[in-house]
Amino acid sequence: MRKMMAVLPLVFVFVLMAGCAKPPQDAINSATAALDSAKAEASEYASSSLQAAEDARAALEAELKAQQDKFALFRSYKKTDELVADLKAKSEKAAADAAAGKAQAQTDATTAINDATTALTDAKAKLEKAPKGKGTAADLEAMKADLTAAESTLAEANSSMTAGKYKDAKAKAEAAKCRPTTSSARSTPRWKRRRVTDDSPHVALERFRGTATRPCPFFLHRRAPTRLSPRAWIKGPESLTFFGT
Amino acid sequence: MSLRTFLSRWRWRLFGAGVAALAVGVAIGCIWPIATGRTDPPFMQKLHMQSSLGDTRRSGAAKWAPAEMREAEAAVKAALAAYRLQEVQLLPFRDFRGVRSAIDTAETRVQRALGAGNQNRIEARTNADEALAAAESDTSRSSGVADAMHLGPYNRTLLQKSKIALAEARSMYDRGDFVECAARAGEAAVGSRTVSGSAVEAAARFADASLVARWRRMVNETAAWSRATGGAAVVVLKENHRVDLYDNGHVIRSYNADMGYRSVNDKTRSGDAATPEGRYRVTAKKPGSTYYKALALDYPNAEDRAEFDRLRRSGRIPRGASMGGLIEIHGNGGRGKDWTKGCVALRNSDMDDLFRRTSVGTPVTIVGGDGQGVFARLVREHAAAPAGGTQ
Repeated sequence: MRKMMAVLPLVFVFVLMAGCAKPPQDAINSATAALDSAKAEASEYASSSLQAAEDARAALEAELKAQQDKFALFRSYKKTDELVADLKAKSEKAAADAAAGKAQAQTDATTAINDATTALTDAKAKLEKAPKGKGTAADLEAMKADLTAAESTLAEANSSMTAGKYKDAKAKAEAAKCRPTTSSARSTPRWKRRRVTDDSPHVALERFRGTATRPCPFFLHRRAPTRLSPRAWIKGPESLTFFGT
Repeated sequence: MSLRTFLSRWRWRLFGAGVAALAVGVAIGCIWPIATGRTDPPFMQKLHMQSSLGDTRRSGAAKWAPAEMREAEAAVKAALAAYRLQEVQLLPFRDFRGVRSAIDTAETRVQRALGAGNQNRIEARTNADEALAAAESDTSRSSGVADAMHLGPYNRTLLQKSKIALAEARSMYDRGDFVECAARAGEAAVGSRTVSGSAVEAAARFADASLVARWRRMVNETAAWSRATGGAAVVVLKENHRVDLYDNGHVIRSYNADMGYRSVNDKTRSGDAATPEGRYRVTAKKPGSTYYKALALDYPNAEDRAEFDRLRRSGRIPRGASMGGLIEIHGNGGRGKDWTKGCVALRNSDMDDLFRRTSVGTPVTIVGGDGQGVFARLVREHAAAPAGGTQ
């Protein structure tokens, strides 16, 4: 009987402690804050990781509610601790994936813009050097207009880049590299175009037109006679391929 | 035996019986829920619901049916919370009937979100397909226009921007951004249609029946003169890119020719790159021209000067503008496009032939065309094409 009386306070203290079990609020707050901070970027660059973290939060909330609905003496937050740790890990993963995805998108967009800028600068430099004269005025005017359009799109790409819209910036920069309008050659029967033997520039141009039905590698155009019209002189007569192919 | 005696004798037995009855009652109370299946967790149902949710998320329902998806996510969350709530209860106190119902509800909402998402995505994709097709058609038509005539800087830039917008729209389509794709393709289509519209407006006079009749009359008069005098005469049809040589009233030679790159217009002043329209004569034959050989024309004639003065007085050409000149039929042509600043360029072999057959004083009649050329066709095609692009 005396032994029982000695054990009773211990049992009382134990029950009291168990009854006072509390959720790990600091850890929960920390994990939730980690998720909230990762959310903005992860929603765009790491949606699957964010979804996993959201699921972990839902599981944690369900567990907390389940424990709160239990009789106080029977509450246990062991599983809650595990879920908090899981949420924190997944939130951190989402943040890391988002940062990596964003960095990748930024790199891609920067590369695309740099490529387009280089191509544009190159094209403008070539346009400056292009022979000017009666036979080239129309082509030069057309090419300048094409470059203006490309420049405008590139400016939009840079704006998107500044605003952090890397996917848009990349799409615009790549679109700016699209092949400009083809030359305004009338459709002439191919046999007629090929029946030329003259070596004058326009004949060389025509010879090109008869053969260059699709974009040729740049080095092939380099071998063309140098007295071609500016369009041909830059890349080829059929297509103004100053931005890639 | 009195009651007191009975109780004193049977009290332990009665206590035992009471405890036994209570134990049986508790046992029945515990076994009953288990036996009836209320405590069985709907584990497979839960897994199925989660799997369905995963499929729905992967289908992009959050993007295509956000409201339905939010409802579905909330229902799944509630079902999982209810599940966990029962799971942590002592076994006899668990009751998963409500949970089953919640899971059923969640499953229904997930399926609804999936269906709505798929439907919206398909609709958006169809819209994007249509917008892309219309934009491609419009841009292609505008490119055709750009091939047929030289566009001014504004329209040329607009056409190129439309092409860039179309490329961007295709990129968006590949990314699955169908709504943005349709919007961008729409911008491309509008730009292209503006270009075509401007070009058609500029070319409208080539489909003007009275003007075409006047040009035909000029050609017939030239042919009549040739027949009457038995001499050679030259007729230039601008939109047909053709030079006809008449002899004794009959066309004896036809040559392909390149015109001024803004030949959609009649020449009004220096530097407008348009080939003039009117009746002229060969004033000089130049066997050693910069452009192989040349036949100089008497442009501007009195009629051209009067027209220039009239336009300048009405303010339709700038005060500082001057009359053009030095219009010739020369060689180095045959480029398959209009490139001169107003002259008519023939292939060198054709130039040789024409040079041989003409002399100083040979009449040269330059007209817009016969109503069947590239500009007139452009106007007719544009009029026949339905609004919105696709033909």
